[in-house]
Amino acid sequence: MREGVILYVDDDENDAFFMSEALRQGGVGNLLEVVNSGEDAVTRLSDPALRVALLIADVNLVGMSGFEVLAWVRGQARLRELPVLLLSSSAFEKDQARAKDLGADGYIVKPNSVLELARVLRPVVARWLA
Amino acid sequence: MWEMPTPPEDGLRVHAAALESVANGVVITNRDGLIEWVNPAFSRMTGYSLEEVVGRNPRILKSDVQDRDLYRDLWTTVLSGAVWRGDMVNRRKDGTLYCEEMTITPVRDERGEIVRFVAVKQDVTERKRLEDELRRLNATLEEQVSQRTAELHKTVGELEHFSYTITHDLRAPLRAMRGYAELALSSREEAKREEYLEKIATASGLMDRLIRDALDYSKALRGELPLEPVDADALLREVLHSYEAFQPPRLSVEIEGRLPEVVGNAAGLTQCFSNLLDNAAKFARPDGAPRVVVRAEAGDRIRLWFEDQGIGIPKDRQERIFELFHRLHSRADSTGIGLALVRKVVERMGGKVGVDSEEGRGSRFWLELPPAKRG
Repeated sequence: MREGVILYVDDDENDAFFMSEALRQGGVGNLLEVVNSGEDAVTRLSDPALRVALLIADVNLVGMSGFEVLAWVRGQARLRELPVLLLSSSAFEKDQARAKDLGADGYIVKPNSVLELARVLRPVVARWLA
Repeated sequence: MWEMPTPPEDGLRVHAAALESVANGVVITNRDGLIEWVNPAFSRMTGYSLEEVVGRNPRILKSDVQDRDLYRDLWTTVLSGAVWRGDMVNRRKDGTLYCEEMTITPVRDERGEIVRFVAVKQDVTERKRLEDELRRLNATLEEQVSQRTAELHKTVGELEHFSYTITHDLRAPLRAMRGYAELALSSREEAKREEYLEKIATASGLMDRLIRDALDYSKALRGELPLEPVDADALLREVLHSYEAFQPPRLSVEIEGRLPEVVGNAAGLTQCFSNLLDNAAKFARPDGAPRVVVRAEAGDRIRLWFEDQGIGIPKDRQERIFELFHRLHSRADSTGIGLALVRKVVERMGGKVGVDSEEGRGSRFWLELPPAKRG
């Protein structure tokens, strides 16, 4: 299993809880660290001591958006290869295209169910964390 | 004393009588353009009697409104023997201007020489005025149509944004309810199940709040909002009295002096007051008791200040805080509708709203309305 924490950016504490449940159900052993703003994500990612295996960011955040976090990450030489997954509650095509343009490795529409979330995360886990 | 020219043939007496009585002004001049005869309609039109104009040049009517080219064209045409037709603005004896439609016909003698000119004039001042009015109304109408179209586009855009965001925002509590329900169903621990049910209750509360706020907002967009004098002081005290959320210890409100009467809508103002007070209670600093001071600043308009000592708003975010669904904090009880509603209602009452705030020090929200005139 790939080492490092999964950094999850979401200002909705319920969704953060569901993410931890879904990952647990998916058998992911990596530590999940939740931050609730884009600014906090940047602060954490700037710490050279932090080893990150995967960054998952909600698109709609108060302040710095998930897109902005992604753009910042892609601008950092050290983090250029970090897998980034964007997450949103809307299947807005424009948002998906923008995520791709900015270099996201995946875009997931938040499902209404924890079981469903675990299911959509399965290929992600297989690809980036196995 | 000038004598009326004898018509070339006696049989034309009928024609002379006709010229005398027609409604159009008639002027007969000699070849040099000097007036020989005018009919009574001309006198009614210009204010000059027959005696006053005989032997004079029609230039006495000139107004300086048209340029020289028109006169040059007129003379070239009639001297060549052709009929001239055109509109002209002339000056009456009393100095006022009028607009006439004129036909000048050259009259020839047996040898074919031009000996006279006959001008027939019709006063078209009123018609021109109506035409101008019509043109002006048309222009105004077009302007109004494009203005309304722009407003409509804006409303459609707002509605699209509204429905997109409300759907998005309603999904969050729905997702929470479904997620916790699933977890509760699969959990064997009683304590966990209770915790999840608790979360479901909270999420349904937020959903209810969102729906209520959204309905309030759409009502504020299109509902009737008749303006009347409102006693802001009595209204605010009534709001404070009716809602426990605006009473200590949850919020202490101090009204400085007596708030004046403003022109507004009581229901609309109640919504504004409660949203502003609600925010003050919600965004209080964790270390201090929520407190609001309300005071009025009189001028051309009445400015009502709501000052709190809460967490404040960063300078670069103050502009956007009144935008619909723009949330500054990801609090579960914040829908991003409250301040947008306040702005919409205040604008519909003909007023303005704003904020002056410092992060960590508190916010001073204000709304401005016209004062009620004391009868």
